[in-house]
Amino acid sequence: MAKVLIVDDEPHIRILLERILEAMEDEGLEIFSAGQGNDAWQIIHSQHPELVFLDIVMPDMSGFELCRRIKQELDPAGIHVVLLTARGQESDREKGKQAGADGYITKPFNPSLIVKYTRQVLNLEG
Amino acid sequence: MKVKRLISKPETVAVINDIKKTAATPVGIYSEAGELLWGDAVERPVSRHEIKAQGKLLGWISAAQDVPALNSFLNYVVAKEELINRLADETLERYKEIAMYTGVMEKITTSLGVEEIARLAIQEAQNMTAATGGALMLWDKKSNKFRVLSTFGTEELAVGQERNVAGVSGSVLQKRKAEIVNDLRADSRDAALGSKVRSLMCAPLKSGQDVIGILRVSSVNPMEFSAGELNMLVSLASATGMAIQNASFYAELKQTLMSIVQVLVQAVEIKDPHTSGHSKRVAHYSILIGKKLGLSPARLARLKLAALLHDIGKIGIDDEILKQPNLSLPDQESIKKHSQYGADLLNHIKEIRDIVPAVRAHHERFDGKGFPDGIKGEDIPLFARIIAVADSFDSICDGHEQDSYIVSQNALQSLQARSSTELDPEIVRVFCQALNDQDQVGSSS
Repeated sequence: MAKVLIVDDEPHIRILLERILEAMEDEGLEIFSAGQGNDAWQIIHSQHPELVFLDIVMPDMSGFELCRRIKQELDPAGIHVVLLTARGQESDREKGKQAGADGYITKPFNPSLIVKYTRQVLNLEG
Repeated sequence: MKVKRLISKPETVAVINDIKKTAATPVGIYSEAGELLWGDAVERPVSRHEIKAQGKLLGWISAAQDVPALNSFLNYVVAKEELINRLADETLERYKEIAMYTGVMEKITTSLGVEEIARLAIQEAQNMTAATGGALMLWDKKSNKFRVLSTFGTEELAVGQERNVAGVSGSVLQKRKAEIVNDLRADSRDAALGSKVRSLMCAPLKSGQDVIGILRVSSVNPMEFSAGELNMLVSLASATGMAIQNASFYAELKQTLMSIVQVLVQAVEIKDPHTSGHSKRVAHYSILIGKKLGLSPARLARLKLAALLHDIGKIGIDDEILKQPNLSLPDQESIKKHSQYGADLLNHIKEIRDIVPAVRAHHERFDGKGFPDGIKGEDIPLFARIIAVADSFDSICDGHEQDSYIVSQNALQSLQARSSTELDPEIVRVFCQALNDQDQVGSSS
């Protein structure tokens, strides 16, 4: 079963992403979410999600830092990390790349794009 | 909505654990597939409460004794989740609109080809709805028929096909108003057309006050298109209509311009038989050079135009002078004026003003001894330096087609002799290379 984790300190962003991804629950997608970096880290260890949508600005740990930890301390190629940000700065994109992020999506995100992206990464049939 | 995720939230888990403690009876929550998600496995439940959302079974609560507090709490959680979902859907619709406006609108309105715009519009219409098919049709006023420009999925019409203005699409065109028909079989307008389509959404392509066609999406499965989706289709159709109109104006303008260029080129050739075919050959050689220099397709098109028109100023030279094989000194001076005349003439056509400097400078020499301004080196516009090489080569060959190896080799040698004095050596080099590469020379030896 494919697993995806949503990490964002803003509940409404979590809800929106969950709602988008719910469309794929019947195709075997399991959705987890976390409101802060430490909770996310625990879920990653217990559930081993293949895909993580990760907010950059969080109170306890920045998305860059969590991304770096995932890529360095865990199997770097096994977990696909997509950074989410309301900031469209080119420097953030660059920082994300350096932290090892596989993708970068700006808010407000395009729902169809998230679905397409998820299907592609997790090899789900449309 | 999955029960598993509903009861995985910390605040929910806390409440159901409290309820269980108070109830002091074995109780478990199961998924719709019968998997125990929380609590106790209850072998012979006395009470079984179904958890449902919008009539769909999500799971159930089994208990040795009915636990009404747990039942109503989960009912409450489900109801709240439904509300959140609805709000989320509403927000996501807006997100979709924003994504469409920012992304596709820009692509559509900056495209200059009608087919390309139609393709983009259809692609977006496909992305933004759950429709199974769709089509973009333009309306031909003269024949009063639709012509299909682009389609996707289960659409029954094919690209290029013509169709009478009828059915819902015809009605949308005539009334100039978008429409949803969620049960096409009950609609008298399309019932007779025998289509497999069950639901349809159609918007007029507008350009200012004119309606130029329609954009529609359809489904072979019955579905409910929403007013929100129709709004998006209408916005997409408006932008598409305007972009298509602009693109056709642009194409017409380009066509008109090319006709003017043709007329001008012919006018010179009628006047001066020596130049017959010369403009075309110079354009051909110039393009060879331009390609080799890696110019963009857009720049190549401008270069071709400049090359075709480089001698246009000969219109202003006395016929007698043009016809003379050997020119006296004063006549030579008059004929030199043609590059300036040409520039002045073309300066009147705004759309080709960018090539005027090239026409004016095509007789400038690399060493600065040319006319009319005596500029030198890279002060001479690139197009002018290219045309000068092509022009010299054609006059060396005396207008003969380059099908003879000997002639071409001699011509290239003469050309190289003029390199650095008359002609830009770099461009001469590139031209020789281009001729060799493209097997223009020597293939028939």
